Formats: sequence, structure tokens, C-alpha cells
Amino acid sequence: MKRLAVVLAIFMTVALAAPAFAADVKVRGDFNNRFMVYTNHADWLEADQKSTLGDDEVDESWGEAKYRMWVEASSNDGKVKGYYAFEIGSLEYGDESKGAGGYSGDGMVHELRWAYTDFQLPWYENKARIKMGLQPFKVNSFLWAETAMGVVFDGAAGSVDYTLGWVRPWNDKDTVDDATEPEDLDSFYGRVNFKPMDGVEAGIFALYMTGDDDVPGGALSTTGSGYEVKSFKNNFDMDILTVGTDGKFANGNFFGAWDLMYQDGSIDATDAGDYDLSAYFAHVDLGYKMDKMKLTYTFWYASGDDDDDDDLDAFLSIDVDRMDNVVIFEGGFTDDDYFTERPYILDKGFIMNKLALDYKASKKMTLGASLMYMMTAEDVEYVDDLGRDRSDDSIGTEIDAYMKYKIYDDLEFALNAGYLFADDAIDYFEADRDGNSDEDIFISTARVRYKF
Amino acid sequence: MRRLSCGLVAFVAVILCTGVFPSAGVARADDRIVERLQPLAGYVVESGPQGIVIDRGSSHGVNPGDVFSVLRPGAPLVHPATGQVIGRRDEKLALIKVVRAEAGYAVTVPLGRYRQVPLMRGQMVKRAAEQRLLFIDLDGHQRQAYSWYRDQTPHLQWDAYEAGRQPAVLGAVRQLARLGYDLYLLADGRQVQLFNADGELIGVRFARVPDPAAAESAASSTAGDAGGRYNLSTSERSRALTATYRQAATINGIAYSIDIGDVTGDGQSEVVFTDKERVYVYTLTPQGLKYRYRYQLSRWGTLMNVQIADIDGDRRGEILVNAMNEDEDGFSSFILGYKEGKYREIVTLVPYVLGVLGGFSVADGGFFVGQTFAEEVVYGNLVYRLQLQGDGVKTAEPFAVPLEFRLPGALFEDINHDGRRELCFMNAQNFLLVYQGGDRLWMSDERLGGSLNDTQVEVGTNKVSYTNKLDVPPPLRVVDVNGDRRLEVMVVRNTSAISTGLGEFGFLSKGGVVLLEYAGMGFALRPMTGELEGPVQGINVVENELLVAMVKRSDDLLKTTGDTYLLGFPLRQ
Repeated sequence: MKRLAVVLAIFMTVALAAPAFAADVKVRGDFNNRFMVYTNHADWLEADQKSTLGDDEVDESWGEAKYRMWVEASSNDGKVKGYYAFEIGSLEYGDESKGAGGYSGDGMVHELRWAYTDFQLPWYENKARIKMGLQPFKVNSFLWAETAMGVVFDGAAGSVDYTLGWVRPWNDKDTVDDATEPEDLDSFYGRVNFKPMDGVEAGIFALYMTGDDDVPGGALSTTGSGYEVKSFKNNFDMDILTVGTDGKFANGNFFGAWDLMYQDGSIDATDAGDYDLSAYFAHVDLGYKMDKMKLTYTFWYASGDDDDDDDLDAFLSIDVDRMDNVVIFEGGFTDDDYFTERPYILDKGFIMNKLALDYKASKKMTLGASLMYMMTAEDVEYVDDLGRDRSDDSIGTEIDAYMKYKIYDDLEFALNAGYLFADDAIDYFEADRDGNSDEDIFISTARVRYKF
Repeated sequence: MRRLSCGLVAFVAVILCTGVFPSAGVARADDRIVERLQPLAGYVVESGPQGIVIDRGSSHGVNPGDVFSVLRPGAPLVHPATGQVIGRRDEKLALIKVVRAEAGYAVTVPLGRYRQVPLMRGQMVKRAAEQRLLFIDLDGHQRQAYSWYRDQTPHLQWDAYEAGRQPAVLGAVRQLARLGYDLYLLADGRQVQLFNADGELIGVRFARVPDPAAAESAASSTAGDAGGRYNLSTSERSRALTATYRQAATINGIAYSIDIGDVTGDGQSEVVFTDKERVYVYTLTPQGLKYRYRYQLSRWGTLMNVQIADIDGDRRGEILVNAMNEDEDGFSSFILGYKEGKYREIVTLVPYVLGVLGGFSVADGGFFVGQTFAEEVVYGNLVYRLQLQGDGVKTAEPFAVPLEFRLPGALFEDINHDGRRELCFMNAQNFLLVYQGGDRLWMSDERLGGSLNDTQVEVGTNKVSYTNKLDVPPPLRVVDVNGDRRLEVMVVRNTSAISTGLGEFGFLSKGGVVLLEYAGMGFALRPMTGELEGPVQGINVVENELLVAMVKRSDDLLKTTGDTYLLGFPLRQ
């Protein structure tokens, strides 16, 4: 805390008193005060897909804060920029575990979020920017869209934009023995964006991840938070290639977007042996704008695995944050507490059908509602408490609604709620598995957010 | 001893005869205009579309604006009695003017009537050689100055003093190029000005403020002889050019973007502005504003800015309205027009930010263009020329722009008087840039622009992102403020109460207009209106008056509310 105060004091002194340097400094903030207004099943929100729904409701409400600040320094021609972002929270009211939510609030949890330099190569007339450091890294919102460390090059040639990147999400510092080479996990990324015709923007990309395991053995878990590359760390040998296309289109009041991906490769050296990965993902949005309303239909299919052989057919995300609804995904405003961040359940894939209506009621207020029917691509198979084999693929139907209101230009109040009419596949996550889903889930959250 | 005495006498005689000590009232030998007219010879190194490069530069005393003759050796002059060659008279092929002087070379372009003359590497160039000069005495009291300048520059072809006093000549001082000379010297009691064949000002020498006691006795001598070499002023640089104004009209509410022009073709100016939800059209009358039309944005999106420009060549303005989609995934601009007695939407849902560069009308050299959208930075790399086609716009060829170009508020005019247009615009950091093609000619060393109007986009991932607010800058305008037939650029400069070298912190609370002008030392800024008590959201020139839209905010700084005042400043033209 003392160190931070000193840094801030130095910064303010320089900002207010210094002569004009060839630099532009901007400070930005996101002061997010969130509330779990009410949920009947707080046990549903236990980390990624590790929930155990009890028979009895677990009613909960709480308040929390998550504050972020960014400092952006740039030359006055914008050719060189540096970013530093840190985050505090989320700190729950009364939670002393992170040191600040309890009495006196003396503790502090500081997290570094961004720390990177972004500069234009001097000998290029077109865009040719390099970013290096801890930066927001976006491949595809269903595959990888989070912060990561690496070097990324963004360029442009006429109407074509291209990106090349090297990201190292795992660095191997430990070796089994001196003879073993470092087994880092490296990702190599390439993308080309172009406009094939008026109103259409398309992109083609490829991501290759490769790394050898450092920890001998280890189970490739497809349950809980196991089935995500982020969770694999350096436990396995991996060679995974993902190729895909994404884009959007607009024609008058019609609009849409798509994502198509295919994954191929291998995940080896698990306790259960080696796996060959072959999976795919498809998504489409179709929408229509009418006056102040917008109607959007969303469909996506993530392939799932239907047997225990060494062919792994389930689509695998790397690190994402899906916010498509309140109950299943991270759509609640208390977004550190959620069921899953991934666009699929376990290794069973996912099928989403969603119809959403958004309405701009006034300059200050936006309203919306959505209806979803969700399934897994392959049956969730398990043995119930009576030893019977169960399988089902129906997640259920969810209804969501939200309201956003600007109290002032930069201060927003928002409220949302989601109700999941759970279907039998949810029985897998219940404490008492009887083949039938017994618990519907309701979540309502709110926030007061100041962004500047 | 005798030799020493003779030497001393000779020395004194030389001093007395050579006029090292100039007589009172006569211009000094180090006059800057004389310096610009001194002979200097060189050669053409390179000739092409980008200009003609000569092998003389600033280290040789070359300055931007200097005029060189491109010469071809003429026939030898043979003495009729002795048969000896006594010299050659060079033949003039063309006149070129210096647009940029580097240390060892200079870049030149041909003057107007010589643009079609082919020039080649190796040709000889000479400054102030084979050039006809006309001296124009504007007040009838500059005969002595004529004599002095002629004596200092005998290599020039001087017309008689009386030629510059002819009524036809005095009546054509604003159209010098028509008189057909290569150089012009215009003199009055205040200053001596040197112009080239195209009527462009090359140099100025100001007179010293005359001593009132000596003024009567020196009435027949030129006051322009005084002043010496101190012809620049720092107080002029810090004093507002036009500080007095009137309140022309009041708008209830904040006009985030405003433009004034004739939309209906009736000769009256319309005032068009937006409060980010609606577009309003008023007629500007001597009594104030008269309401005409209101357009309500009924779809998903936010209005950015407005511009009045003629895009169909009928010399009547259309209203270009730029808008961004609510979910920040692109532009959805549209165009309003006055057709068959009514205002209506003539084009909708254009996926560009629209503008007209290089003039009010596409019929007068203006370009109707659109810039693409880019995530997180709003303005993409590409600008295209557009054509109005029915109820839509057709995308034509690309319009080359530099990397950090932003179309709103940009300007495309010849502001350094070299015959080529420059692209001026405000970058994302609020610094003003001047580009010629791909070359950056100048960047301001202070922040300019600033606006209450901005676009907001999220930067980062779904979960970790900040809101990037990018100003939509008020437009740049060009005008000839000082009557030298050269355009200057008017730029809005808004500041906040906490204004530091690292940026503006807090809310914009003051504003004004500054002038960017190009003179002998390059681009320079000077105050034009002085400081106003609120930020300026738009500027226009209407009938020799600069109209400034200044916003006076309410006391509640968390809400952007207030009123907009149209203030009129007189322009010297």
C-alpha cells in the first residue's frame, strides 16, 4: 500500500508540475461495485463446473468491489505507447480472506492485469505495430480471449489486416533432471482479416500450441474445470492446431456474425495414455434492427466426446470468458462467481439456441430480455446414487432480463436476473443424483459502475 | 613617411567614397529583400513529378520562396571591332521557386506559366537572373526606395519607376500575376513586399516607426527606409488577431457538432448542429436563429458530427451526419438533403465516417470521402472516394492518407503556398499534423483541438476493458486573414482548468481559435480570438465574419448541460 501510494504521488506530481515532455499520459479507471442481489443456489457458483447443487436452497446476497486502473503513456504522435493496468478485487463485503473486506480493511490484494509496450515500426508507412508484454490477447471469443504474455505483430497491407503472434502461456522453470530441455508451452498465431464485399468482414486464423510435459503423468480431467487448456498447465505433451474463420456482415437493418473452427492434434503423456484430438465448433448470429430495438438469434454447436476411447472429439477452449447468460455463464455482474466461463459443459460440447431482444428506451436507459434453450452435444453420462446408468443432454431453458441506466455520463446502474428451468442433464451436478433435475436456479445481480 | 601619409589619405578616401556608413534614411545594405535577390548560380540535379532539385541549399543562402531562372547558354557576344567574345547572354527557359531548402540542396517547383516547360538534369539555374522586376509605389513617396533597391540589384531587369505608378498597375495589385513580370516590389510607408510572378509573397521588410519630429522633414523620403533588419515581432505573435466580437445567436442546449452553410440554395446560411440524438436545422438571420427542421435518430446508434457540403455537384449543401453503432461495431452514417422543398434522409446506413475534403463542393475540387471503422481505435487505415448514386453511395478508389489520419475535422488545402495541397488533421493525442503525400511537414508541439464531443469504444477483452473516449474534433477552416492571398488555417484550442504538459485533466472549461500560418520560418501558431470562457465546438466563416460556437456549461460537471453561443469576430480580408 505504501509503495502504491508513493508511486501515485510521484505520478501526480509529474502530471501536474512537469514541463511538457513529448508524452501523452492518460489515466483510466473502472470502479465496479457489484451486488449479488439474490440467488437461491450460491452452491451453483463454485468455480468452473465444480458445482454441487444441494437439495436445499442456499440463499445468498452480498456486495463486492472490483476496481481497475490503467495508465497509458504515449508519444504525441501515438507511435509508441505503454500500458500498465492493475486490479483490486473482487473484495467481498465482510470477507477477510483477501485481507481487505473485513474490519478496518487494512489488507490489499493487488493484481497486475496489463503491462505492455505497443509501438509502430519506423520504416513502415502502413500499420505495423508490435505489442510485447502482458496484454489482452484475442484469437476468437470462443477459443482464446484473455490476457497473456507474448509478442504480437499487427500489420496492414491495403485493405487486408494481418496478425502474427507468439505467446507463451506456460514457462517451464522446473526440470525433472538436468538433461531435460525446458518444456515451455508456446503458441503461434496467425490471422488475416479482409473485406470480401461491401458489408462483410471476414477473418481466417490458425493457432498452434505445442509443449512437452514437465510433470510426469497426470490425469486429463474432463470434469470440473479440467477440460480447458488453461487447466492443463504443463502436465501433458500437447500439439494442438486450431484453424478457423470468423466474421460479421451487415445489410441494411440485417446483421450477423459467424465463427467456425476445427481442432486437430494430440494430448499425450496423461495417466490414461495418449489422446488424438479432433473437434469442431460452429456459431452464427442473425439479427435485425428496427427503430430502437434489436432482435438477435444466436446458435452455436461445440462438439462433444461420446466415448472413452483415445479419440477426443470435444471442442477445447484455451482461456475465455463467455457472458452469454446469467446462470450458466459469466453474465452475472458478480463475475468472479459463476458456473462456467467456457462455451461447453464438461467434455460434452454444447448446443445453444438463444433469442434476445434489446431496446434503447432512452438516451440513458437500455432494456433487454432473452430466452435460451440449451443442450449438450453428447449425453452427459453418469451413474446415479442408486447405481443406475444415466444419460441426458438437456440443460434446460433459461430466461434472462436486464436494465442499464446512466445516472451520470460515466456512472451506470445496471440490474439483471436469470432463471434456469433446469433439465435432467443438470442432475449430474446435484448432490443427490436420481436422474431427474430437482433444482431450478435463480440469480439476480446489480452494479454501480464508474468508468472514466 | 610620405608613403605612410599617402596611404592614410587613400584609406580615408576609400572609406568616404564606398559608403560603408550608410546615409540617414537609406535602407541598409543587409536588407533581407536584397539578400533574397542576390545572384547565386547552380545546376538542376533532378527533375520529376515530386519537384526539381537544385544543388544550392540553405548553406548557400537559399531560402524557401527564392526564385531561380533556369537558363540555357545563348549565342556568344562577339565584339564587332576586335572579334573577341565578350560574353554570352543566357536564355531563360523557366522560372522555379524554392519550396524546401535543405543544407546542400533545395526542392523547387515551376512557377505558374512555366509548368509545362520540360526541365532536365544539368541545366543551369541562377537566382534573380534574367528576371524582370516591376517596382510599384503604392503611396507615391517611395521613389528613393526604388533608386536604392535598383542600385543594390543591378543584375535584375528594372522597369522605369513610372511604370509602377500607372493607374492600370495600381489597380491590379491584387492580381499581380496578370501583369506579366517575374518579380514585383510593392512599397508604401510601412513595408516593402517582394512578390514572385504568381503573385505570391516572398519577403517583407517593415519600416521603423517614424520619429514624429523628423516625420515632416523627411516627408519626401521613404519611411520604408527605416526599420532596418528587425522586421519580425514577438508581440504580434502573442496578441490576438481579432479580439472583439458580438453575440450573433444563442442555442438552448449543447451543440456537440455544428456547421453553417447554404443547404436550401436560397443564399441564406443554415446552421446545422447535433446534440448526439437529433440533428437540428436553423436559418441564420440578422435577428438570430429561425427553426426549420429536426431529425430524430430513431434507430440504434449515436450521432457523432455533422458537415454541410455539396456531394452531388449542384452547389447546394447536403448534410453529412456521422453516426456510430451502439455496440461499437461500425459506423452507420447518413445524409440529409433539402429536396422539393423538404428536408429528408437521402442516404442511410453508410458504413463509413463521411466527409468532404478540399472544398465545399465536389464540383469545385472537393473530394467526397469515407473512412473505415476499426475496433478499439474507431478510425481505420483506409479512406475511399465515394460517389452519390441514387439512394446510396458507391465506393470508388482509395484516397491515400497517412497512418494516424482521422477524417472528422480534417482539411485538404494548399497552406504552405507551394501549389500542392496538404492534409491537416488532429491525431488521437490532439496534436495537429500537416502532411503532404506521405511526408509529415509539421506537427504542433502543443495540444490543440479538444472537444465536448467524443466517441466511446471498449478496449480490451470482454472481462477486462477500459472505455476509450476519443474526441471528435471541431473542424479546421482556412481563410486569408491578412489579405496576402495566402490561406491560413484556423484551429480550435480547448483547455481544461488542469492543463499540463501531459494532457488535459478535468473538464474543458476554456476555448479559443488559433491561427496556423506559413511564413519564412515555416509553420507557426498565433492566437486569433483570444481565450473564451467556454469550449468551442465549431467555427465557420460567413460573410467576412468568423462565427465561433462556444459552449457555456452548467455548474453540474457530472452532467453535460449548458447553452451554445454563436459569437461573431470580424475578419480582415
